[in-house]
Amino acid sequence: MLPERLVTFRNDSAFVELLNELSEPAETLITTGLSDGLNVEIASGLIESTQVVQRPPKEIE
Amino acid sequence: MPNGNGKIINMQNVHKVYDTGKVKVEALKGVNLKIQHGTFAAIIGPSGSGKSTLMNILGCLDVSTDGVYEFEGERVDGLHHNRLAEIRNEKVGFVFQNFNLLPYASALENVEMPLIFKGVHTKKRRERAAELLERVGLGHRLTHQAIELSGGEMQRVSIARALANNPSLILADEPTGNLDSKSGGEIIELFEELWQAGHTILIITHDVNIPKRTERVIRIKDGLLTEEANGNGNGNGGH
Amino acid sequence: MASMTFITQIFRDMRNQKLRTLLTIFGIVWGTAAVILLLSFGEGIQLNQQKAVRGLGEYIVIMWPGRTSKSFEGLPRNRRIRFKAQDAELLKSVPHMKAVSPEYSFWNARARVGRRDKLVSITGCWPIFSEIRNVIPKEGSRFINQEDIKKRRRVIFLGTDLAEELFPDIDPVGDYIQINNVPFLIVGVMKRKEQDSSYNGRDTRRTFIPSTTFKTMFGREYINNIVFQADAPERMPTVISGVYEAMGRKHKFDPADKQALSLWDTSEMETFFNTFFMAFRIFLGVIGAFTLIVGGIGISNIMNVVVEERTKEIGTKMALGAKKRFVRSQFIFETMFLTVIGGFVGFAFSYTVINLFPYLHLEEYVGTPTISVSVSVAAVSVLGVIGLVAGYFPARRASNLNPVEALRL
Repeated sequence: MLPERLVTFRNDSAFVELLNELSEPAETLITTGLSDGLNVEIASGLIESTQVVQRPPKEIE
Repeated sequence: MPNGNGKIINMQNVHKVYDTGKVKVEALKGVNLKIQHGTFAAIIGPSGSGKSTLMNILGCLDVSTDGVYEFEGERVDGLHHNRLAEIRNEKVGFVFQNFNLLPYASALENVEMPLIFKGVHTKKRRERAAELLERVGLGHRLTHQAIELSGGEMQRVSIARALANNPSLILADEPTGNLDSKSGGEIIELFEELWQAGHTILIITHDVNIPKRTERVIRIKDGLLTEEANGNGNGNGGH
Repeated sequence: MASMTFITQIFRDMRNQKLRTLLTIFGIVWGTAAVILLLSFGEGIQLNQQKAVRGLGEYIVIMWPGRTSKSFEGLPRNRRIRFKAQDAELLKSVPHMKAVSPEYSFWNARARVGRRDKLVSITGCWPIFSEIRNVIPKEGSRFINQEDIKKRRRVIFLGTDLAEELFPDIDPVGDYIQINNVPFLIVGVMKRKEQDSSYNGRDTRRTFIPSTTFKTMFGREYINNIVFQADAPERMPTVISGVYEAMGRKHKFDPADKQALSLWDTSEMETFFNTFFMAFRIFLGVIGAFTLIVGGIGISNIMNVVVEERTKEIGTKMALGAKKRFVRSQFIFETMFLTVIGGFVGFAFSYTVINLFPYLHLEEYVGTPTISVSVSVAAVSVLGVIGLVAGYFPARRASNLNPVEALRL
């Protein structure tokens, strides 16, 4: 289970951001299962307990 | 030895005209003057005789309007102001009636002044200034401010300052004018010592005691020079 | 070389003339502080206002349907144009279009939480609406996403003020709210923002649901308006004419018929705003610079007095062999030195004021002033020029003194 706010849905696919070898956020394709709108089941693409990147809210400048 | 065939000063028919716009005043009317190295001379004359004008031109503070002036063989009239400043700095040592010391600077700093303008390094400058103050008998007052010194002491500082760059000519304008007779006498003695050590000294003065001691006495009147041989001298220049 | 001697002499003069030195430096301190503070506050105010302007979105267009004013291909004029969600879909392919979203609106929906009851306005939109309109979810929140659209989920995103009023003291995310007696899951709350212009009300008082859910729930065929954003501010005109082309083809009107669509281009607002603030900051900068120039004139006058006082000393130095350029540089150096001290103190003073300013809690009105690089560069260059000019004229006078006359005094 993962908070749905960390998942990006685009063109019928789902992505999360993980840190790559250079410690930069990079998108990874995942497949999702059931969701209650707040939390979503991860069917594949993500191992349990992997740290998913959580970006701070954008600042208006 | 510099050029000039042993002559420091060679003036021929030097004129100085002050043009105020309305009137022209001719302060020097054709002065001829030769001064050899090692001379000790007094220039005397009443006020308004052209004494100060002569001193200013001799010291390269001012330039003549006509005639030829050579300082150690170098034609001075018409030189750039920077070169004149160099000549004043390296070849002329001024001693003024009012001493003209920087009042809040120490004796040492005052003596260092000409060395600064020459670009001498700080450490060497300090050493040289201390050595000169020692020589004029002020070795114990190096760090005193000028205003803390007596008149005689101030004049010694200014003599040390005049000697800083080992000039060819020491030019003194009424050096005893602001001193009591005792200090004045001591200053004259100091000049004598310097002369004996080989310096060329020219003193412009009212002081009757000075011409008695110099080897040459040059009189100036109405912008013209006359000269009399002195008892202890071997004068050879002028008219 | 001789700079140490310069400095010792300057310090000596400063000690001997304490009051005069203080007043001289004060002029520069005041001028420097004026330049820095005015420019910093100007910048702070501009940034603050810019945030408020951008609360609506950055370089966006809000487009409503209009009526045709020209007949086209046999169709009469004064024909009403109406938008559907497909129109937004169509506009995605306009060249240089960055983002588009349809916007459905419903006013006076009844929102109920427990016993609290409120009339709210509901917006149906796409996920991208969040980016176009700067409706930003706060920490732990999310906006509508693509899954919500696809599955027509009954999820809702609340404006900041509305969330606080309906759920005082608790985080509403995960709670339910009844909209016209239909329960909606709250998935996010908007991060607080300033917004100085709006349509359909302030975003802090609005609610947002998926466009598909909206359509189903309210049975609406037509959308109220479309919002879009170009990929760069300067591309906006191209994008707008592309929009007229595409919409004209679809709805059969002349792309030159401006009345067919009603556009609010906020980039015009931003351009006006930038021009206005440019002028405002130049105005402040000029005021500051004039204050500093007055300080510079003060320092120049003082230096003239100093030259007067030191005439004899200058004459002596010239007699001892100081060249004109030495005398000149001494006075320029001294002026620069005083200017630098004054400038430094002025900087320190401004820095302190600007750092203490946030404690007054006035950010909402005048923003947060900051000493930016451009402000510093401006202040330092004005200061440098003033020091140089203020020093140059007295220095030139000093170096042009005739040593004979200077000594005679």
